[in-house]
Amino acid sequence: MSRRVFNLGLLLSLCAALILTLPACSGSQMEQWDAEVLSEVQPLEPPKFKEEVTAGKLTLTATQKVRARETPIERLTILHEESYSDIDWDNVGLVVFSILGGIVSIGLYFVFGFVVFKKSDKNEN
Amino acid sequence: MRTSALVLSLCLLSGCVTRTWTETTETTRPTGPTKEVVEDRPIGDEYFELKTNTEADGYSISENLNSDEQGRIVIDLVAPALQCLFYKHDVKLELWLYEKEEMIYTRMLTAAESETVLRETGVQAKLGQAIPLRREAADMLDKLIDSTGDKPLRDQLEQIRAKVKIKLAWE
Repeated sequence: MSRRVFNLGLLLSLCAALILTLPACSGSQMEQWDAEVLSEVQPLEPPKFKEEVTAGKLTLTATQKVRARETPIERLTILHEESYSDIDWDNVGLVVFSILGGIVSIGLYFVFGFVVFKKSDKNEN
Repeated sequence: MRTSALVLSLCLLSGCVTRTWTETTETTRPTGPTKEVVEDRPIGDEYFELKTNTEADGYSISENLNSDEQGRIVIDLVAPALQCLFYKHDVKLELWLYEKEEMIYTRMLTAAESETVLRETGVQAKLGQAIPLRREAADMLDKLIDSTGDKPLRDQLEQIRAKVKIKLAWE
């Protein structure tokens, strides 16, 4: 009986670990269209300057006659999302407590498997 | 023991990190008709270089300027005015477009205009305004104070000298 419980527990533990590690392989792409204006400016004449001299300073205001073409467009943008396994100082606390939780869970499993069930087996015998 | 180690290793791997990033592609699609307009636009946020004549001793003014959003470029005329009076000839101001190395504006600064510039600047200095000048222009101001025989002009130059603030190379 205890051997069967041990094998089942091992199988369940591996399944749990696989479920936890599966996101390490995940990745997704989402496409979206962002609106923008495509503008093309073509100078038609040389720049013109308006002069103004005040208090020892010459202020020039530069303007230029241009032909501007503006086309509203949408641009394809791809949003990538990728999950991967990593341990760094930011999530080390999370990992430590996960390990502790795992050890406690496994410990409880063995307590039930080898103490509670084993006693029941002996009693049956 | 080996099984526990395996389970623990797999638990360690469960520290997942998610990262997201955006990729902008070259694929576009038009969503409306093209609008075409012909208009006068300010040449804003552009870089220019101001140059003056190169003198026989190699002196020349070269300053980097930039226009604001409205296309305004402010040129300090004190140094060109000093050059004009010191070397006793009209000074040609040239404005070059920095990116294309193309001269887009020229203007002559005459002796009469230079005196007006220095008179107005002298008034500003008397009111307490600092006059930023390069070291070479400040030296030229000193020499002009010593050499000029025009008393009102010398007074104005001395007022300017009292408020000169030397501009550093990177300014």
